[in-house]
Amino acid sequence: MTRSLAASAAALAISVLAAGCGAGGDAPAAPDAGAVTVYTALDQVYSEPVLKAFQDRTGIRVEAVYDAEAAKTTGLVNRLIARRRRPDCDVWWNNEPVQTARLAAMGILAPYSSPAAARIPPACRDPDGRWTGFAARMRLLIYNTERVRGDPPASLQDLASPRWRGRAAVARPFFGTTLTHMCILYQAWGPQRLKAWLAALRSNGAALAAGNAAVRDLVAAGEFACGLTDTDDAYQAMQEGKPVAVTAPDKAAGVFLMPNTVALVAGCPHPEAGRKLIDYLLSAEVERRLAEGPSAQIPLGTDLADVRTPWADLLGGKRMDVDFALAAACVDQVIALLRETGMDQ
Amino acid sequence: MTACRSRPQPALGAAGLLTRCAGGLFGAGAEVLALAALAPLAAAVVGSFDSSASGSGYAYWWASPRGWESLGRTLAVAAAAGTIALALAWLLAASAAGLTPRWAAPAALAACLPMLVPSSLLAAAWIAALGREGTVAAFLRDSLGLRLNLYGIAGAAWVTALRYFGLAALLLCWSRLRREGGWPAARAARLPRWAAALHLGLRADARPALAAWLLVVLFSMNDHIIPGMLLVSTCGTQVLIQYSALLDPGGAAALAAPMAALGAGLAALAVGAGRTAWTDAPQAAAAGPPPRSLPARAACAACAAAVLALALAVPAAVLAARTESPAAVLAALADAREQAWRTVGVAAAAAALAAAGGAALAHRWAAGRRAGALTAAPAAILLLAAPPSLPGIGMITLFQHGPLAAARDTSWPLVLGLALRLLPVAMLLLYALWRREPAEGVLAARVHGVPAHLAAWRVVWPPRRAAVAAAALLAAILAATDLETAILLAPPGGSTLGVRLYTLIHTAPEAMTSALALGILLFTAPAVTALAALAALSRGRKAGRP
Repeated sequence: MTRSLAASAAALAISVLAAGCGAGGDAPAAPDAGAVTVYTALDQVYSEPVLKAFQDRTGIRVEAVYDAEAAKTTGLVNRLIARRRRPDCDVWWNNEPVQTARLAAMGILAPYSSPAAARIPPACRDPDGRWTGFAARMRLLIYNTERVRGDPPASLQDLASPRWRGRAAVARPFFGTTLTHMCILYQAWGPQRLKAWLAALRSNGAALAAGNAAVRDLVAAGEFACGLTDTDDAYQAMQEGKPVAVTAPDKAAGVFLMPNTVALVAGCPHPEAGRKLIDYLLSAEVERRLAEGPSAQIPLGTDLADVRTPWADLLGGKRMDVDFALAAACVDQVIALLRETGMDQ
Repeated sequence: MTACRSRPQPALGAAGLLTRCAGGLFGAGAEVLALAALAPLAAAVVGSFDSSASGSGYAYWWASPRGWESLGRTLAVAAAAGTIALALAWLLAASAAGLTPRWAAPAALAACLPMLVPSSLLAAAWIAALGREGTVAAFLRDSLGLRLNLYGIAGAAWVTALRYFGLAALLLCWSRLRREGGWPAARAARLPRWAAALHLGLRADARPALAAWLLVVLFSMNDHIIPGMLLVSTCGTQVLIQYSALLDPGGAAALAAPMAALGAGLAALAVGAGRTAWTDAPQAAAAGPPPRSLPARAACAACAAAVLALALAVPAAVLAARTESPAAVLAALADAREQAWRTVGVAAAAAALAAAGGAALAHRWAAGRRAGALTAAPAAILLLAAPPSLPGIGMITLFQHGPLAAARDTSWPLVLGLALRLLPVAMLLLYALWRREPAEGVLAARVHGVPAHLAAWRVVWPPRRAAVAAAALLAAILAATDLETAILLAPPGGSTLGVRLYTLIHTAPEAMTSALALGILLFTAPAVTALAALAALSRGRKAGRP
């Protein structure tokens, strides 16, 4: 009886403690000079190798926090806002600039002028030094070459036209780069035009997918003829030999680039290690790696003119002039407008 | 008995008083546990009245078509899934019973296997099979000219039905096994076979079938992963957006709370409809229907095999075909070893808590039923009826403030969330096994003056060990493959295998995703095998009893 009792109690205790042991790494740790915590919204398959390379080179242990495809950037942003008084994150690595600008406006990011930032054009940096852009992506119209006969869609308005009725897909615009795009359009078009387009899109039967990668998969599989996605998602389908092609929407208005953004969190526990990580991420080496890697990001550094990306033809024209801080200021109005037009249904 | 009753009761010593107090405390503790388990649900409902959305969350969702449209889509998928699941389950139950009654239980258990894998895995497999360029879709298009569209309410209902039809199969098989004793009477009365089939088959199946349909509708209603991956926006999708994107847990709970009430109603109706299936005394399964001819039995076997192959073999085969090699499966699991170990730890902890809590509640419920006393234990079923997002949001609320806030960023919210979600599963399983336990052993111990704690340890516990182990194992499998709760409660950097698969489905190449999906299937295989072995052992022991 005693053996059975001891065995049962031991089994229960080990099981209950297993979760604590397995989760120990998630608890806020005591300050450790040899570690840095980074929240990254860039897909784990792309960001993890870069962070691992930094860890191997410097010996600084990187605790990376990723988010799931469904919630993407917004989950991490909300976490930073909730933890602003006692942050557990040192470096914020976002895959777009609007949410980063929003955090900067809320005072959650600390100014840091990295020496490596000198190679990045001023238009891709915060004037107050709170964040720096690098390795950009572009919004694209992706279409299935086997399902599209004739001219592919050339503009966002085309997605709401009768020709593409029930044949277009876009990502739910409450998250990630799609939300960023909506904020930019809110600025560029104004609220009335954006609202009209969104309403037309919905009444035209456009499907709402979980994310840009889901849009890519749906178009690549031929479920839908065309959709709106990002360069890294489109590139993956092209590399896999899927029957897809891309075009930049609204070329006349200018191509819209969304840089990754990196920033130091105000009051973070490991500021020194955080600065080293930021210096590394803004280096030419990392931009080249991201450009030549599977995500085909577009380098912004002035010293990487020799790097060829698959998007050279699309980048040749006019670029849209974007004020990310202004775009960040209208996130709440954009979300209200998205709900009003049923984009959450 | 008269002689026993006339014996004077021994005076209670200190040990006896202590034992009686312990028994009372245990009973009170079980009642408190049943109510405490509902705390996250209560926290979420209370929070639903504090929405940051413009105006009240309830007004936002339910005073406009918005919430009703979402509910309509949710119920459309669920009702269609229930109907498809019932048809498949009835076919399986009838086919399996057409062989011998011994095949019914294993067939029903096999039909439950899709419930033991992550829902995203199942959806990914069926998209690979029936998507526009899917393996099976291409075959059907090229050979039969059939063009299928998996995306939409019909496709979502189909895949959801394949996930949950095992529930219906279990109920129908159980009901049939209890009715087999009616066949000898039908033969004696020389009833035509069709009349016997109508009265002993279809009519008798009506109430269990209704219960089965309601249960599948309930589970389908609370699954938003499969519809979401097939582009159907249900209430669950809206809850995730409201919580994750709009930082409005109150608004999210205002959408989920009425769903929980609806789910509780469905659960109550299911229990009522299926009452005859599990309250009637089990009949001797000696005679069964008249023996069928060999071709008829072959047809039954083929039918049962076809249903099971559809549910199990097709998705597994498609995933295997898209995986580059067995080495790729091992590589995918190696890449995910951190998530794998975390999944094992979290599942083990959650299962231990769920089994312990479920055992206490099941014991209290069974004892209360025998004594004709009311107990709060069945209230824990609300945790199963509510959408996983609602107690999840409540759990997050509880861990934001007070002493629990220190554990906010650990896996404990996830462990507790899973334990509470699976507590009613363990409780229901153990209650079903214990409610008709013979009380002679305990009475004999009492008559001979054995202290209650020794009687509990030496008389009550030994025959219950296997059942509790089976409940814990089942809870561990369900916890390891859970996605709905993990998406909300897994801390950043602390994701599980299911969440990793869900994330990689769109960001990683197909071959890598298929390899990881197959790896997860292999990961859960030993636990499922152990569960089947425990069930077989338990059946063997029951058969050996006089």
